[in-house]
Amino acid sequence: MICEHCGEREATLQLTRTSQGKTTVQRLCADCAGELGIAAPAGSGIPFGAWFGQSLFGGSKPDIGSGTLHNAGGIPSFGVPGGRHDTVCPKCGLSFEAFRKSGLFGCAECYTAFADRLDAVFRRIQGGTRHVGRTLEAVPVHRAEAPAERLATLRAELKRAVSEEAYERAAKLRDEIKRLELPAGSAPGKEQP
Amino acid sequence: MSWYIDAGPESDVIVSSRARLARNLRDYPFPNRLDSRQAQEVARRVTDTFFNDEGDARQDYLLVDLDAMTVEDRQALAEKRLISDDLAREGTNRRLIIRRDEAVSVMIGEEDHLRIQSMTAGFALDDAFRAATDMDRRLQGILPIACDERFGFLTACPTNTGTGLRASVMAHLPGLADGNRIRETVSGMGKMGFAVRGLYGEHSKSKGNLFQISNQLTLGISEDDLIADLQGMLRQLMEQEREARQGTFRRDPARVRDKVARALGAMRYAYLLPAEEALAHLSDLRLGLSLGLLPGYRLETLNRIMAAIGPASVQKAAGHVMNADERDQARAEMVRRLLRMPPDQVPRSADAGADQPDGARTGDKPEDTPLKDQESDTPDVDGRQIDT
Repeated sequence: MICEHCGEREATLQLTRTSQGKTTVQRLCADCAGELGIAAPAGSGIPFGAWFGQSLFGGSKPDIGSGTLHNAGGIPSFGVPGGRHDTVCPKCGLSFEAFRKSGLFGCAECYTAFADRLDAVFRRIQGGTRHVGRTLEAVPVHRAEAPAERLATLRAELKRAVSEEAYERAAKLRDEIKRLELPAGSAPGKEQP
Repeated sequence: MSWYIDAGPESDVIVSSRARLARNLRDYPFPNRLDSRQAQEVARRVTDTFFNDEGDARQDYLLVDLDAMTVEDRQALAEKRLISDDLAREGTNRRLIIRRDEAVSVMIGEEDHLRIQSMTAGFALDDAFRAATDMDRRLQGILPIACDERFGFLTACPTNTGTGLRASVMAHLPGLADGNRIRETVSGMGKMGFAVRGLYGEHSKSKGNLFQISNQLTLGISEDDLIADLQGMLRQLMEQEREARQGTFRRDPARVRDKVARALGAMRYAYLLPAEEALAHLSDLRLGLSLGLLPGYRLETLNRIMAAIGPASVQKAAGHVMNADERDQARAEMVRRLLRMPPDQVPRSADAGADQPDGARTGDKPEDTPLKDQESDTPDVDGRQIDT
């Protein structure tokens, strides 16, 4: 896989970002990730750069009101102008009204569905309305695959290794496949060495 | 080495530090809107992925099926602060992934899919945060975590949105409590954006003078700033507390000595010891230790006692159901024994895996672990140690 930024070097990192409900995946090489200021897991050789949050948003502290914060269940009404119909999350079905009553979001999508009403909510509850801390790390490409995808990749590689008569590599791949295939109910301690 | 026994930095005032990160999987509703099939999937997916991942997962971590435990056993875990009270109550599809030294764990099935927690002895928030972040990184590498550029990490409750970080310490404040300055101290901290909760009882009447102090805000402030703010406030608090203690002692040393001596007497000789009383005495003993009035006793011993006196913990150590009187008797006996031990012989190890039968617990799928094994194999050091 080639880096999507420079189009030259091999991509070794995968960065997942979600903004306004859309998730994008970007595959980068170590150099471009460093250039873009993306922090990477320790040991990947990339210096600790600016976190996404800090590069995009200001770092000023919110003005904290007095009094302790209670999640007493429910979020106070903010004088929403009359006549507006209640917003509903398309994924989990939670309505904004229900969210206000219970004080809990139903799913990640709710944040997008209620986006234009959340500034008021967070201003009241948190003081701040934008995240300025850490976000998802860029992770090595092979670890970003779901186990099923990883298995498929490994099996293809095993086939190739066998056909190339690279039996040592094939044996290593076979062991990793066996580990991932561990069927439910078997204790790891009983595996053959 | 054990985070709840060891004396850490500033441990005369700060008993322990904790960093908790709230995370959710991207592709499932939050726990409050999961049906039971999905909840089961979430638990299964997280635990399978974690234990099948490359590396030390199976050697260094245990999987605890909280559903398979009795409510008393869960309460024992909650008393040791390893799981939340919520998770200890009735529920389903709850799991705990816990490192053998019990300092790092992941709760599954709480208000958010994942609650990462890391505990350290004494005042060591940086260490606790670092360990929690390591686990966070590890999970991000193998599971799709819900995170947004505008709102940060997406949590069920808006009080956790953003960093999802709750940094907290357990503080022992007998000096301020004695001087009746707790209420103003607590409200002062509240105004600065910190939450204060009496560990046992409400704010100003916390039994044992133990308070949990944490950040309130999680959005609009970076993790580093959040922790730095908390540390700064706590340094001031520690100074105030120490001054208050010294002040009280200087004003009336005989009374303080008497209080400490009576606490020691009760703990060393009482035949029936209710939990509340034990907590109150522990507070006096901690104070006595910090004032140099208890040579021959170590903080580790007091920490050990505190971890073991909860009602569920006492019952678990005894191995059978007890009524209140029986518990009070068992507690008294346990405390007498611990106080009689030479300090360097007080059991220190929290290595829950040291004497596990081969292949028994690590990485086991929940339904494979019979209920009976859970009782003895749960990483609860106290039960085994006290029985010897």
